[in-house]
Amino acid sequence: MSERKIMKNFLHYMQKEHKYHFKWLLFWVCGVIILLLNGGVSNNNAEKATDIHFIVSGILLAMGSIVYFRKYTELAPTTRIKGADSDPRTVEILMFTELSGIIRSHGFDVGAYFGLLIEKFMVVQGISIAAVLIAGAFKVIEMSNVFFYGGMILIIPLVIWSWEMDIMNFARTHKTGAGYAFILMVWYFIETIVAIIVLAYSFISFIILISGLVYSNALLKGVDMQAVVKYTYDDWATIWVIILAVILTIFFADVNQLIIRIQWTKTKRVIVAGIILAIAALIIVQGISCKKNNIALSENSISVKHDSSEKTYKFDEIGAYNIYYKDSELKMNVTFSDGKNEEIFDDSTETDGWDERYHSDFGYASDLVDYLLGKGVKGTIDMNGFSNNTWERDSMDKAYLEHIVTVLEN
Amino acid sequence: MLKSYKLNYHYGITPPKENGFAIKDVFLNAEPGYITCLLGKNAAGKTTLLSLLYGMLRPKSGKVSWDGKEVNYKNLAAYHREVAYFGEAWCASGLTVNKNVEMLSTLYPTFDRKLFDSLITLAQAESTLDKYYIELSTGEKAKVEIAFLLARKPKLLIMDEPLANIDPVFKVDILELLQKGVADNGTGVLISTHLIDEISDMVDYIYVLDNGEIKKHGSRFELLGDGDGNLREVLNDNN
Repeated sequence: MSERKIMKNFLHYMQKEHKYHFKWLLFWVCGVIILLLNGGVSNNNAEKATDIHFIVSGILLAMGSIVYFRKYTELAPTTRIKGADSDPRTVEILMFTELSGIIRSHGFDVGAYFGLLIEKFMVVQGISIAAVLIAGAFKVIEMSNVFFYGGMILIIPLVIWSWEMDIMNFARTHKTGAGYAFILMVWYFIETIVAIIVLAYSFISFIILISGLVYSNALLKGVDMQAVVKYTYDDWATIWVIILAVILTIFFADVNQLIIRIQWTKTKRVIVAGIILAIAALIIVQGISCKKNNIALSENSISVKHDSSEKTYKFDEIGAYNIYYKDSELKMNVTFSDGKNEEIFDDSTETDGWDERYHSDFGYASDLVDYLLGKGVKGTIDMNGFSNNTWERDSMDKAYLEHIVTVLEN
Repeated sequence: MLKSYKLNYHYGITPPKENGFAIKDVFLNAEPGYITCLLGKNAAGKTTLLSLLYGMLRPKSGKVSWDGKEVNYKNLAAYHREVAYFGEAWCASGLTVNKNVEMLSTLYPTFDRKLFDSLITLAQAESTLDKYYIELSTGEKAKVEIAFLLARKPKLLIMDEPLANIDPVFKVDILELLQKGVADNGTGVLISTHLIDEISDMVDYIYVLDNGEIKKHGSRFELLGDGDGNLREVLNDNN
């Protein structure tokens, strides 16, 4: 019998034993969803909010890959053993028995086994790439992102698997030593940190998404890539999500470990379940009551949304403005004719059309200053915040800034 | 046949000075159908040598061959299907004996469940089958492991101190299992021990290891004569 056939028999057994293990699919699907939703706005890496979604989706895909292989390399049961309560050593061994710990004395072909797992996972990768292609075809995401996202879906699991396989190969053929222990230590440390952040973020984001709440309008609607639009939005929802997600992950990151370690009596079960439900309710209530602030800049208007109220101002309705530089970003504080005051460039993201038309915030500010000058509205510029690093920006931004200074100081 | 050619091994990255090798220039053979004993005092290098022979350690120089082919990482899995090892963690502590056997037997096409059950019966260990492995005593674990290894029908079984920490009652059962495996399936055994008296009647060939070197080797009759010889004297004769 070939090595492949023998390892296939073993794989079938593991599959049968872990047939209800779907945690990996949750990570993977969340990762792909966030990847597709993220592609609905500009992928300009200078924008913080886009970075967060982009990085989180990559980490989610990595976690999905890790947990998928854990499904086929973990041997410990998920329930406690009756009668083993009093021996903490028993509990520790139950939770950490992995294939790599016992394959040294068996005819286990690591390469053949991983090859089979990779082949199975390619089905999932294929479906995910198909979803990305369809999203690109229907312009839910930019076509330029299709190849990049497809590459992420293919490459991230391969990097993870190569690392897992190296660890198993090391376990298979060498005794444990300082080097091996260090590899394990680094691996578990990274895994723990990533699990805390990613699992929580994906879980909470999913809940809020299902509740019909979004961080910006572009996330749910298909975006016309030719529109000249820049969106800003309130970042508080993201901050709340991350804070509460970390708290929830303390309970969800490794439920089995938690169950065993806290000696899960009925009373404690009720208490912990109550805490989890309360936190979940808090998240949903927070999401529902979350202030949805949004500013949309276009070629001749500024739309301002606060909670449920929304108003669109024409440029003619701008009464005054001040331009300054803070936290390495251009800021423009605009006062409208009704007395409302807004920072129009805060926490923003823009479409490709915007990039083509204005290049950056400096370009938009330059055009707006020219328009308002024509209407007799002259604002102010605070040069204190413009440090040397402004001069290191690209030549177009530098030219726009010089034009603004020329207009406002004459 | 298992053969080692001038095996050398030292711990650490840089080679030690003359006397620092854990295993030095070892030639050793072990054949199916025979019981070969690796005899040595504590810290003689028995475990290190068996690890090298099984492929768990890479020799610094020299080689190990099985049936004429050198054992390396490419054929390690196939080699481990024909050669079994007693003494390493071999199953999941958190699963029952039956579950472990069900899982691990998929790796061995020659695994015989009926033989396993009969060996368990012979060793009077039926009560262990539904227990979690971690709940078994040391003697019970040894019996279950040997029964599993023999039911795999390996051509050679390498055993590192199988009788250590086993009480006399279990020892009899374990030795009985070994002899049955050798007699019924032609399995060879390479067994290391420092408890020489317990197996002196069983062995066919003896290697005496001291400070990582083979000091003496020969058949049981060569080293012990017609049965009146004492293995303890053979061991002490090295000094």
